[in-house]
Amino acid sequence: MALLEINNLKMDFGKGADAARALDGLSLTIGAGETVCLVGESGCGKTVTALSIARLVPAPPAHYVGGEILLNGRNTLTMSARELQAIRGGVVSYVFQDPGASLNPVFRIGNQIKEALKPHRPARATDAEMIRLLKLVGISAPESRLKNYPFELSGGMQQRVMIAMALASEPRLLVADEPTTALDVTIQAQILDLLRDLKQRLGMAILLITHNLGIVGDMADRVAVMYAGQIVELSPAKELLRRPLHPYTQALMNSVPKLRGDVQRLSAIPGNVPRIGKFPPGCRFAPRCPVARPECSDKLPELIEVELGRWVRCPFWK
Amino acid sequence: METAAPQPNPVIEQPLSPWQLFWRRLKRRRIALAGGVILIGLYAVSLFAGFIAPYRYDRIDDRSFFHPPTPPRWQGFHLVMPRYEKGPGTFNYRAVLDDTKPVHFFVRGDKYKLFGLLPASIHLFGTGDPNYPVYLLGADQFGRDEFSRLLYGSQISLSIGVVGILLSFSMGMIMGGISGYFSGRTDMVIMRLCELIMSIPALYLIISLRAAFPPGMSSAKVYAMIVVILSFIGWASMARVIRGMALSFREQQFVLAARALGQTHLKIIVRHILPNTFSYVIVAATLSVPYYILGEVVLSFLGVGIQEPSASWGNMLTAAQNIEYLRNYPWLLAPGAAIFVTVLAFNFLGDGLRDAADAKSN
Repeated sequence: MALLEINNLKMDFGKGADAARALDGLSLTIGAGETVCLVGESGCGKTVTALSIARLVPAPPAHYVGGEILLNGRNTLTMSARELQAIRGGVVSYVFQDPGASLNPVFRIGNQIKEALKPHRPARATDAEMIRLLKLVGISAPESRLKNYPFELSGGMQQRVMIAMALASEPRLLVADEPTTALDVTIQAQILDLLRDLKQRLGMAILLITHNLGIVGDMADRVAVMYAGQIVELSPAKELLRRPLHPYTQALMNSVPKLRGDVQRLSAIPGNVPRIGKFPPGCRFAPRCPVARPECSDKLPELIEVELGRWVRCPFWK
Repeated sequence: METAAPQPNPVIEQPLSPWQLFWRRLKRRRIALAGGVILIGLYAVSLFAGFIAPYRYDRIDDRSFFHPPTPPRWQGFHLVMPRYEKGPGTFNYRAVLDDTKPVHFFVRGDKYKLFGLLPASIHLFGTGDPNYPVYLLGADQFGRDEFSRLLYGSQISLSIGVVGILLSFSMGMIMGGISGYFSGRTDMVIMRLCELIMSIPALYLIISLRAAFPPGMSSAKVYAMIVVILSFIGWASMARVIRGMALSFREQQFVLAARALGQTHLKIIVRHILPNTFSYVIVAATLSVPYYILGEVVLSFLGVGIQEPSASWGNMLTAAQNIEYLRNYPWLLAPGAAIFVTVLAFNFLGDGLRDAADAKSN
């Protein structure tokens, strides 16, 4: 049994006539101890997918129409509020994009870590445990840091504190939603190293959301590429980077600046991700696709397994 | 130990906490500090009112109706009070300067209860002889000492503001927090309720509510009633502001992070959203205390508040309604001056707190 199994998840924002489909038949599994990257442009549903695992998307407006999210074999879509509170910060923990905004500005660090420990492991909400957690995420002089306010820490330190809080309950799955986007490049590398190191030591699975393909090669076992509320390519990381199959993945990789070779104009994908509820008919990427054919706009392609472990939502992947 | 040995472990300098920064900015505002000091003084005096007041608030002396203030005089190194005798005409008093009694400290006098609990009869000062009265601020139409009544009245008038604020602000914060955090239908219902309450003219509501209670209520009951009525009206505006702040804070990532850690809704409201509104709430509370003080004054002035013989600044001012009295016995306006000073002090302090809470002012 996989740790996380999302099957054919369909979610709308709004109800009835106003309903706009945000996730459309999304399926994804994460095994214990596995790192899966979710990549795609802004607005394609990465964050909503991640938040859905612990039902953190505000509902309303979110409205789950179909599918299931099995976490440890139990469907979170049918859980009561109490069960969800036990899951959140228990089995699955989150680290968000902007660490400065994720910490409550008016409380000391120690106070907030204690809050994270209390609901799940009340007996261990001690100073010693907090110091252990801060050491685990590589914060120097943890004893004195407990008394600091969030604004007194650098962005990298804040993100380390957030990770410490996420680790407080020894989660099986850590969902990191663009954990390094708000940090500068050197700190970014440190945080990613930390995540990789923690994963090895604690044996937890990581769902890493990013739009930075550079991170993917470093971190991921498998990669899911999302576009307009659907997964368009799912593949082991190394193979995807070496030979992307879906035109969207190829376009994404072409827009990464290259350091070697002829200096050319940086290529970008023309146009924007279609707005939720305004998806084009047929293949959703067709209007922006460099190799689109007339028939692409007729029918929505299926996600098919074209090689072992490689799934593509494009009939013309060859 | 002046030669600094290299420290093995450099001490990490603890930066100032938000409260320390707040205090630092407040200290620079002299007027606010003065307001604060005046208020501390007023509240300390009202706490020990029974001890400091030379007489009880309901002690009637039929020989000294409208007695003017009696300043103590120096006789050598002693403070003395002269005897007063009635002069010709009504309420005309003359000091008999060669018949005096020294003012003593810690004299035995009227019985009272310190803090409403401990029976005592020692007063801070007095002559100990009813023929040589000490009327620092004169006496009222029943011959009761204005100064003593002012002190006893301050217990009601000053505490009503604090109790009222505690009641209305806790109610307003909880309702506003719930309203803003859950939004949707909950928000709709609570906000319409607030608007309903705010649309009723407060004074009419108070008077009609007062009419619903029996007229001969004890002062303690009337006090509780006034506080409850004023807070019942006052929480709505607070709830509206807190709701607006909660609406913006609930979109903040730290609320999402708290939810992702499995915190309950109640805990998120109480521990994450409301603490972020404190800097506003403290300022608003300070600036709203006068509203309750003046509310009591208005009600008592209209005769629906604290009843005689209990003293409050409002019902003491009732005696000063008469223009005749005001011209002849201006000392009856003393509670007005007390109200003026208190309200002003609260406003100065509140202004200073507001500036200190705003990090951008400096």
